[in-house]
Amino acid sequence: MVTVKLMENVMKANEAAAEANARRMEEAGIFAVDMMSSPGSGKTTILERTLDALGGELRTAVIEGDLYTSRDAERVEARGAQVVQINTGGACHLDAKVVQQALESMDLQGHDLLFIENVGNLICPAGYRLGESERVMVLSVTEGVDKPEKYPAMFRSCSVALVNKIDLLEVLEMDIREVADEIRRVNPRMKILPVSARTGEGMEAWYEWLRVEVRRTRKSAVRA
Amino acid sequence: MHEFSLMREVLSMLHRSAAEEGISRIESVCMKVGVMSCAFAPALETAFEVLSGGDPLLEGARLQVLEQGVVVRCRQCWWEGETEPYELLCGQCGGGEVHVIRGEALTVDSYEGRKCPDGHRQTDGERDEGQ
Repeated sequence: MVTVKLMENVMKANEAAAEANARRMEEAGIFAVDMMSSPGSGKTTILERTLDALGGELRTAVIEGDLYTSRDAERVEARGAQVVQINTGGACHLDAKVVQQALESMDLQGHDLLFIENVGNLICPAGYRLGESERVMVLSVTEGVDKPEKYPAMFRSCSVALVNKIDLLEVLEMDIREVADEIRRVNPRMKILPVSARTGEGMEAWYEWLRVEVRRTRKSAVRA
Repeated sequence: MHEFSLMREVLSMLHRSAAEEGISRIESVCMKVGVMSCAFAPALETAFEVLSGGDPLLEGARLQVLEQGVVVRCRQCWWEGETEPYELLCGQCGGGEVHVIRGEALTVDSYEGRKCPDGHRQTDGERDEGQ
């Protein structure tokens, strides 16, 4: 009987592909954002608003991830962005390999910003790096205050939380500070941006964060 | 999570390694599962049982899953030690600015098997050609 000490990370193949994607983005000077959330929190609406606001100043491409349909890609394309739709046909998350294939089909010359809108799911996407520069999650106020404690891996893995649909706070009789406290308990470093994609409230802070990160990414690419 | 797709990757890794080592039968596999790895040990065991069925290399092999607790290093006071999963607080200063150094990974740690008598494991291609 032989014992083989393997000590191999099961996620090794994904991490290698993610690393390749990250290098490709760095070399191109593109700031890449992996957007994650549960279904229906407003990711696509946020993207539509963002493309309308920043389309003139930042050249943006989008990779859409869904099990089925190209509905989100159509919405985003109508805003003037280059978009590729990935249909996973059942897989509950995007992985670095399918994102790599999507990147290879895109012309990213001269682009500043790439959004990867992940499959709506608060669990699995957290475990798969895609090669993004930053992870942003969208939490709708309609989801209540207990999601951070119930899905800590997702909240821990992101650096920004867009707390969306704040136009509904009064109807929900909800205090935004309670949501923020719950998030900070799980991730003390999370940048929390209360927004309403529908009314536009709070969105300027999100746009400004993107502008700063794009500038920082551009500078590093030039220096490299 | 989706332990079946994870286990497919594990089986690929085992096949690749066994081919390199000249191993024809694997008797047992040991995996380390971090408690914050998003993989659920009982689901991994079920997936292994189902996917190893009918596999000449792995049929009947035992899977041992070792859970790994969370170890963190504090960014403020440099304390290193175990904490509760997701209650990631420094055991010394109580601060929440910690770096997780163990507890998130999913690894195939080791396996035990028997080598082919002539030290060479048939590849699928060779088996098909009736060699």
